[in-house]
Amino acid sequence: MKKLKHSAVFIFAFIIISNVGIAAAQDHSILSKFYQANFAYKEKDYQRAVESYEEILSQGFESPSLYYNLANSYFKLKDLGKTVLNYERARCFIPRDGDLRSNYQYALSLVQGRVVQIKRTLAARIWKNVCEDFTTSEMTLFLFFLYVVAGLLWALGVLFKINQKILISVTVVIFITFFIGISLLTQKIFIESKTSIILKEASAKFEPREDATTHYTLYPGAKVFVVKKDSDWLKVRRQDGKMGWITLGSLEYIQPK
Amino acid sequence: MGKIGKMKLRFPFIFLLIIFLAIGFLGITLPAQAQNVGFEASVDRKSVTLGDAIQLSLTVYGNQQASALKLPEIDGFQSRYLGPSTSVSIINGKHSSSVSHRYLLFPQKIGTFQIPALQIELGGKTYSSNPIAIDVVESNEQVKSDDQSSTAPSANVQDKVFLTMQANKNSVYLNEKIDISVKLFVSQVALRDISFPEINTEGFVAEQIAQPSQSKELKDGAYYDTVEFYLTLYPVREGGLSVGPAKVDANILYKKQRQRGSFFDEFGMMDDGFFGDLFGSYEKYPITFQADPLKINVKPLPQPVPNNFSSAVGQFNFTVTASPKKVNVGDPITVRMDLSGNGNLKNVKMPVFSENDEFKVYDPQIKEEEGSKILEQVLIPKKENITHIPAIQFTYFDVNAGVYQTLTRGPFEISVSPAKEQQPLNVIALPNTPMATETKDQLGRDIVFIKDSPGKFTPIGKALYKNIFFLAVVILYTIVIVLFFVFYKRKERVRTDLVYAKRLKAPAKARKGLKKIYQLIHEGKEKQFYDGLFEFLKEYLHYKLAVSEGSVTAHEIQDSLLKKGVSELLSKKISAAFAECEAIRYGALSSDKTKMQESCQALKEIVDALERLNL
Repeated sequence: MKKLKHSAVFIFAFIIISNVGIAAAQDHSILSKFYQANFAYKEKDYQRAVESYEEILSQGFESPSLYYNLANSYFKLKDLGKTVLNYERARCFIPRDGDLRSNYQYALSLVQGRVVQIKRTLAARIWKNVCEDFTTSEMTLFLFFLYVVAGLLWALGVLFKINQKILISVTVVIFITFFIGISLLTQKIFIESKTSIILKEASAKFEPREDATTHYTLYPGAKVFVVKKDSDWLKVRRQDGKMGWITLGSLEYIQPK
Repeated sequence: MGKIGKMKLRFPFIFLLIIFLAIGFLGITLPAQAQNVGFEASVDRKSVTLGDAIQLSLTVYGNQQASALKLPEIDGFQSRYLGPSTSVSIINGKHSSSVSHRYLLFPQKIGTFQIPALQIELGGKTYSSNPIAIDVVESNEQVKSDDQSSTAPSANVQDKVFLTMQANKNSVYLNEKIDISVKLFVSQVALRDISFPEINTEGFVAEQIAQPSQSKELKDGAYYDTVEFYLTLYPVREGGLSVGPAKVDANILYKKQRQRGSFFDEFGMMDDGFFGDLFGSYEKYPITFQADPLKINVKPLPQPVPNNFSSAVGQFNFTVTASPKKVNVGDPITVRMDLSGNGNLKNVKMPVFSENDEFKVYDPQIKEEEGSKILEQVLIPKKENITHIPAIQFTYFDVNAGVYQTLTRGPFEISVSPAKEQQPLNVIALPNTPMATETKDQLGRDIVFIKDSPGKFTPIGKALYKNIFFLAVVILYTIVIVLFFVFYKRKERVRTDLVYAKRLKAPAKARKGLKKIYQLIHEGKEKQFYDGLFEFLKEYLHYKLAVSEGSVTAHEIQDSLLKKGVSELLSKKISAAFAECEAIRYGALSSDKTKMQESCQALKEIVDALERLNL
């Protein structure tokens, strides 16, 4: 039994170490690429910067600064769609970063045909303050923490015979928070997986056909929610709730696929 | 572990590396231009006992097609051709190939013999090797090792291991750099724990001995592994000085006489050097090698010595830069002087600027790096009509030319403008403040600059909630909590609920009782069997139904059975079992083995049914 335990620990350690090793080995070349790209940006060679940053992504690695810098480079190249897309991607990691927020808002202000929402509902406010300002991982960690605390509290309460009423009310509060959190998190994950950014100007039509009537026009940088897919057409919802069909190639999902 | 030991461990790695490089570069480097062709003769040792043999290798470099040489008659030896071996090696991108033809030479008589210079013709050119002297001695060692349990390293170790010391020059000027190389030659002997050399360097300033380098070297026709230590000296006294003697301590490994009849011996495992080493059949023997002292003649520096002599002796490069070139009065200019070269930089006095009415001068910052000395000094112009920083001179003694040299750098042109008034500070409003946004739009707006630090690179699409370890932890934690509650509740119930506790014990009791009863059947004890059966039934029901033991009778039990929802059929069965027991026990009925088995079967059915009911 002891032996088994030892080998388990060993295997676990091995997996971690080998992962770290691989990551470290890859990190090195990626880092140098990153710095090259930064240098190109500083030299105002934005095209080269974009290429270098994209190369890191094509190797399967991402980082908040990478998306942020890439978005800046696209901004300099006046590609608003890609700019907003990459700022959105960076926001999945560092939603509370001041520079990012400022640049993102500036980029958004340049997007044509933007839908402005003046009054926010309670749900929208909660959504903004919780889901937009915290990353998925932060929320997951917070919920895990709640879960652990609730479990421990319950166990300790039973063991040390804490007043049942107090115990129950505390656990109920924790569990309500937990379930609200879980539903927000799953919603966030779902919405993020379906949200995409328009890269090329596209006409949103009433029907998934080329000759259908145009409902409205989507401009690069606009954020839409993909409702469903029908061969080469996507049914999207604009922020004001208006639906329309656009062609597959005119947008890109925020979550890299 | 000693130095050699460490190196040995790294050898397989180096070999692998070489093999990989060879595979990687073979395609590119093979069609390279014609290489240098060479021819060389070597022996594996220079002294041989009669009856033993030495191996002679004739190596041709740069031509793998060279065929074997027919050896001429060698006085005192008979030869036999063993075969060729080819090798390809790539060092620093240079590819070299060679072929070695190996011969065995068997000595015929005692004495000193010479392998003559051998000649080979390659591509129309004749190459010849060095002659090699070989000592052939009488084989008295075998006799010795028979009556001695272990052979301590004897005098002939001197041929196999020795130390040399060399200097790159014997006549130097005061303070001139001398490179000393202390080289340990090792052949056919295993050395461990080699110490750094101890050298008497009186009259010199010595730098620390650097990490030694290892290689293979051909000396007097035999190959040696070498360990070379480098030492840099600067003489501080004139006259005839001596360096050394140099001493190196090491442990020599020699084979211990084995104890006969050991387990490993039977299988001949100890013959293997590796196992031998591992199981300690080698013993260490401390040994000190000594190299003869070197004579160094130290000449004084020629007179007269210039005033501004920096006491640098050797060959030097001196560069000076000043920046920025355009300043305002009161702004700092940094002058940087780089001195590099081969000399004792530690003693060198760097030239510095001194305060005058044109410049305010700060104390210089001096730092020393490997092979160079850097000085940085800040000058601040006091007036606006200054056009240059004055030239600076560095004087050293050039050992090659034997004269004092003066290097002049500068003057450096600068332009100094009058001191500017402080510009008012620009106040930049924070983005995001609502008041400023309006005006900011008019001023022009742009994005914030890129981030320099990359943050943490992670594989794309990785998220905590998808992490298998994280999920495993969550599940594990859940299992632990649930198990805790199950066990806790059970324990609590056992403690507080006596009925439950008893009922928990019932199955175990039943198993035990049944076993006992079965035994009675085999023994054919009717009476005891039915007594036991009765007792068992009573006890089991007492535990299972948690009623007092006294109230377990056929009659009393009916009610509590029905109350617990036991079917009528089962309760009747129980009553019947009780009745049967009583009848036989009090002699109303007789029984035999099959009957007993039937009763037992009925009992088992009752127990099974009750256990299934989960009361």
